[in-house]
Formats: sequence, structure tokens, C-alpha cells
Amino acid sequence: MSKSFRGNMRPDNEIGRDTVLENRLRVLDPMTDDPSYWLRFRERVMSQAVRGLAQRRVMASLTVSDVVASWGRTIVPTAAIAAALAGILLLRAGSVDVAPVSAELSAFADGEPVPVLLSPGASFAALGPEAF
Amino acid sequence: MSLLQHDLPTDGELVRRARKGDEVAFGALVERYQRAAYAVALSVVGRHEDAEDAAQEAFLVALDRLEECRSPDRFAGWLMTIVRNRSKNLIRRETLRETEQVPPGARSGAPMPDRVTETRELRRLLQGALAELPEVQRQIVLLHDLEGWKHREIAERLGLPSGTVRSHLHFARKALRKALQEIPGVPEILRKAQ
Repeated sequence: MSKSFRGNMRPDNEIGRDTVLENRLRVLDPMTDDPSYWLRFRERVMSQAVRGLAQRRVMASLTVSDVVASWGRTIVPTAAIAAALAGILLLRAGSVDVAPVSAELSAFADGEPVPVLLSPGASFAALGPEAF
Repeated sequence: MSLLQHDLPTDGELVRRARKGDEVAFGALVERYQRAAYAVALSVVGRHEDAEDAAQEAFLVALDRLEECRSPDRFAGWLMTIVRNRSKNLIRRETLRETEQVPPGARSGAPMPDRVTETRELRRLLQGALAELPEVQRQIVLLHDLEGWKHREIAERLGLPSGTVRSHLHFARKALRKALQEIPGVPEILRKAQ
């Protein structure tokens, strides 16, 4: 016990044991009073960890195709409904008279000449580069 | 515990399996490090009940954050950091039990066998002597002389230079021996306890 710091080293550079102190410190081990202490400690931790471990198992069992399939179950019906709604709206919009762009521009420009390209019936073939 | 236990799964293997929810693997990690976790917690909080709470909480936090353990083979060091933080939080939150730690024999009032009384008295005196040491020295002396970790394991797991661990252990032992000899009644209790 009275060996110096260096003198207490073992050849492998490991510090030697102090068995007297080790024996004294052993009373701090809860197992001194309760031999099954560490078994119960572990059981308490494990009982509280059950849920977290179960969640991890579920997450680990999911493959990429599972994830894509789960998305598909939600996304495909939603997309189908959205497409159907869009189709209905387009059909209904087609039955309404919509003024041509030139007419809208004439009304907006209040008598100003409308560019040739935007005139009803304008043909690109009949127009020269100046139309642009 | 040796770092070279080839017949047992490594910490890295156990961590990787525990990440997938392997109960056996996580249980093995708990069993492997529960004593060390308790020792580190005790070195911070100083009382059995709080050390127990902090160590248990630390394992659950570790499970919750296993993905954050970047080097699974260094799980022990990572876990000990969590234990220290949980222990310090316990003190900071002032959730430490207000009641003084009364020896169970005094609580019940029942007569106790001399041996048990002596053990508890020795424990109280040891905790008092440990409380006089710097926290890092308490951790090192408990991990080395109570849990049997080698100084190189302590150095690696606590992230300290090997020489520093040796030096702290030397001074911690010296201070403990001196304190235990100087406390009135301790030499007699130790003599009876041995």
C-alpha cells in the first residue's frame, strides 16, 4: 500500500490492484445487501425498454417496397380522384363561350390595333417575320 | 472486463442488433455495463437511489438514441457520457430526494445484525470520503477498484489520456486511504468488516 505511484505498476504498464481498497469499496456495490440486485436492475430496464425495442423491430421489418406500397395505397386513390375532378372541370369549362384573346385585348386596349399574330384566323405561314 | 473477449459479441455487434430491436442484444449491453453505469452515476450524484435512477434512465436514453452512437464499438464511452449527463441533470433539476439518506436499520427501528450495521456504516463513511475527491477521481477509482476496469479501458471510454487516468487513480487511492484512516471509528469498523 505504501508503494510509490511508479513502483506500484505491473510490467504490462497496468496499475497494480489494491485489494484492501477494493474490498472496502465493495460495500458500495448494491449486491452486497441484495444478491439479486443486478438481475432486478436489468429486468427493470428491459421492462421499460420493451416498447422502444418493439418499435425498432417494426421499423427494421419494413422494406423499401413496403414503404412504396404504403405510399401507393394513399397516393394512387388520391391521384385518381384528383384526375377525375380535373376531367369534370375541363369538360364543364369547354361548354362555356370563351371570348378569343384578340377580343379581350381589343376591349382592354380600347380601340388600339391588335397585333396581327393575335387576330382571329391569323396563319403563321401567311405572316412574315415582322409579325413577331 | 477485457476488451479482447473474442468469444462474446462485441459492443458494435450488439449495438447494431439492438438498433433493429433485438431484445437479447440490448439486454446483453445492459448486463455488460449496468455496474459501470451505476458506478459513474454514483460518482456524480453520491447516493444510491439517485445513482440507480440515473443509470436506468441512461440505458433508456441510449436505446432511444442508438442511431447517434457513431462508433458502435465505442458504445461504453458513449453510454458513460449519457450516464454523466443524466446524473448531472438529476442534480440540476433538483429532483434529488429531499430526505437524508437514513440507514434502513434506523428507519425500521428493528435491531439489526452487527455485520449489516457495520457494512452500512462503512458504506456511509466511504461515500463521505469519496465525496471529498474530485468527480473525475471518483469515477476512475470506482471503475477501476470497484468494477475492475483496466486503466486503458477507462482512458478509452472516458476519453482521457492514459497517463492522466493513472495519475488520478494514484491520487484518489491515496486520498481514500488517508481519509478512511482519519475518520474516527473507521479503522475499527474496517477491522471488524474484514
